[in-house]
Amino acid sequence: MSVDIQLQIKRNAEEQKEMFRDLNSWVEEMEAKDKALKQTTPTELSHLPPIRQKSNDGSKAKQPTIQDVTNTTSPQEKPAKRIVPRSRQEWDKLDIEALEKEIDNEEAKNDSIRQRIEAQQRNAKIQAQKPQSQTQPKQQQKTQSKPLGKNGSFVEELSPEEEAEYSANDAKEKGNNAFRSGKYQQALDFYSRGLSFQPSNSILLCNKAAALNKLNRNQEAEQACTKALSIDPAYVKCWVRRANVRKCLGKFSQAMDDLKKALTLEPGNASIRKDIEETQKAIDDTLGGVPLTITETKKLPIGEVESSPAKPAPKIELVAQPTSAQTPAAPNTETAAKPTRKLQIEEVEEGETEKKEEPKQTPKKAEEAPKLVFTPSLPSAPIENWVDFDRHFRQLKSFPSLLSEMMFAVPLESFRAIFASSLEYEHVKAFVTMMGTADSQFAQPENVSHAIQFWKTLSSLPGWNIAHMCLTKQEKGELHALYDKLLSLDPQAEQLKKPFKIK
Amino acid sequence: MDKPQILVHAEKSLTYTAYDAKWIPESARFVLLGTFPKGTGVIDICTFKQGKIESLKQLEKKEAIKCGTFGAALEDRLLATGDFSGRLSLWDLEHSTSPLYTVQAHKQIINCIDGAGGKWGIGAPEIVTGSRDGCVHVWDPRQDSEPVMSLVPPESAAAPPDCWAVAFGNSFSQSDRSVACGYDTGDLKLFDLRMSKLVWEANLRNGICGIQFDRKDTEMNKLIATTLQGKMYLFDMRTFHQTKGYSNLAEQGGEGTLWSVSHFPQNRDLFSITGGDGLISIFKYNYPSRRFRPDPDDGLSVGVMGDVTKISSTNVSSQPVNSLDWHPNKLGLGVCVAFDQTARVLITTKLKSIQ
Repeated sequence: MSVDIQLQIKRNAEEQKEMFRDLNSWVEEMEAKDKALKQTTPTELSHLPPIRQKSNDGSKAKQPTIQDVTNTTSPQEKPAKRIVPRSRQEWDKLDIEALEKEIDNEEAKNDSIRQRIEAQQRNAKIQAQKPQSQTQPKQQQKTQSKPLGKNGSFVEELSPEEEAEYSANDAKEKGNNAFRSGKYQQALDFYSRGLSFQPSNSILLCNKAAALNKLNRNQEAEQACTKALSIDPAYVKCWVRRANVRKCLGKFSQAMDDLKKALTLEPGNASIRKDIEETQKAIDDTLGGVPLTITETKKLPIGEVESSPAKPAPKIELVAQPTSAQTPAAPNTETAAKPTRKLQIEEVEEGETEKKEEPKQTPKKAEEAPKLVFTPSLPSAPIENWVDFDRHFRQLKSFPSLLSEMMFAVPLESFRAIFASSLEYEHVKAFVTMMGTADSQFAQPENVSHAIQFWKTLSSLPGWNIAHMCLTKQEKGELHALYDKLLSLDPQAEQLKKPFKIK
Repeated sequence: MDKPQILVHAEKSLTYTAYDAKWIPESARFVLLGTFPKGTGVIDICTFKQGKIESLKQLEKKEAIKCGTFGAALEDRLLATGDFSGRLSLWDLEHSTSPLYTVQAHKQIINCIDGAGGKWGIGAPEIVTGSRDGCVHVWDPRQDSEPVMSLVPPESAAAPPDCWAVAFGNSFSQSDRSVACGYDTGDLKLFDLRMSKLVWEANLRNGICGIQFDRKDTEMNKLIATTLQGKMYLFDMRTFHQTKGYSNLAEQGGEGTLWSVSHFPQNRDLFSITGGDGLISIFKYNYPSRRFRPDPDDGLSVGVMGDVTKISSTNVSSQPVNSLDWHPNKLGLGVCVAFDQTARVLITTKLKSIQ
């Protein structure tokens, strides 16, 4: 007996050893097969059957009872829904309009469902015809646009809002496809259709603006963008789009505003920064697209002109540009120098005489920020927000008279809105200097009360105290002098004693 | 002594919890799917050589992965995974930084997954997923907007039962296919995809943990479901009776939860059951002399069940073995993972003698 068992054990042990050997050789075999398999090209998938379609029974049921599904192909359900009136009274009771609406809804649903099925079949056919690449399933994502129903099921009851949303989405997808194929008019039609379902869909509006932009209907594009932004002010892409549209319209500074807004919404976005640089360049290059002639009222403060002889060359470049607007390349030769210098002097004279005029509105086209910031621009409209103020302030802070022009134009009520809590020492310093310049508007005796109000409002802002503390002794002295001057002109200035911390 | 024995050929301790183990088709490698302690998912591609399991490549994914299958591959060896967030993804293990195909399949964890068709099978490639949200969706990798077919609980259901197990079967032609789903209430539903119809349902009293047809790509022959409390049910799927459904045989397969059932690819009447006590058992089903007989009540055919014999069993771990996969090319070679964070390669001896 024991011999048998021993024999058995021995046999088992041998078998096991053999098995392991076998296993190892098998592993090597498999590795060879594996390598060979890896090198073969991806299989042709045309032989695969198409994506399974739902049969007309259309059941999705957990219980044996089939859930009711809006499916005109199942005739059994129809008679149950429609009660055919048999008598006069029943006809009277029947609500025709409700029935009509029901029929319309069903038709619309079936239409969209049929569209989905057809689209699916089409796609399946396309799939069957082309050899599959590995990224094909991903591409499918873009071409099909079937929103997942609530439970992920194919056919489902759709509420009217969902229907509208579905139709709008459908239109959006179709529009996007047409847009990508370059069929901009078609895309526009689709987007407009989508908007008829969901008029407040900011995405559709923004896309519509893109299509209009491509069709060179830029005014309408800007309107569409503006509407979208009024619905969704945080829609960064739309800000960028409006900036592009505005660039096409030549409204570079407004485009810049939009881009800056976009940047505040998405500070980490490198492409917005790039756009800003490009827009800045465009502003530099094209001068707003309108050539400057001598007769235009141009603000050339005397101070700047005097300093210009020190740097004649760049100035020539600048001035040459407006006169030779037809030739984009500014002639930067000696021969051009003479006539342009003359021009300059003439302009200066004009500028002088116009100095005393009401400086409220400078022509929009005076957006000439040259490569070297020599004659910076004034804002075209009174500043209303921090972004505008900051931008202009940076340009103008070394030109106190220009700055005073700008600040004079700002309504006092906007101060709080503009500065919020961003008032700084730098600003106060600049304001003090600006008040001091002789040709400042604020220095005019008749504008004293405005000046007093200006300082009063400024000192009521949150950052005033800290900014005041940072003033140097000299600046504080200047402030004191300013206070005295104001006081001499108007006893009302007494109010400023406390904010100015004058003992 | 001359019974087949399950031996642990190689063992590896893992740094993560593995939920599923699958052989890579046509190779001697396997993937382990699981989750790191910090909650991210892991796909670990391993091979075994000279009695040692080596990890070739470990890919960390954003979400913990619960289950996977190589079943429905458009290309060679595409792994479909279901993760804890309900996302179904298809990965090419050669270029696996991002999935080839991904869709938010469910709102909750995908408990179970199965694939059929495509390169390795017959018919359209399809993946079925079952989730805790009670839904079962069938996906085709060529379409990612929505599932091809869905089984959803009615809206009114307050707490729909979790779907714990799904299996494809009956996929013998281009269009035929069936899905069997097991739920935690013990519900077993058979759904025919060609007719889009729920063909049959039954209730097995205990939650169904594992379910498998004996072959995916033949006309359905046998279906085995394993449940909590050590019970397993075998169904003869050849004969369908109008009222009695499919005949079944209930057996005690072990103690505690029977986590999974896995048929041997080489012999469809041999199958293994893994238990909550770390036990792996191999059973053989013996067909009766006649597979159907006329029902005494109404004269229609009703199936006749054979019997099941236990061939062998081994205790490989103290923790539940939650997944076991047999290699289709080598009889007796299997890989399993258990909750004790170990992966084991198993060899079963003397299986050829079982016929």
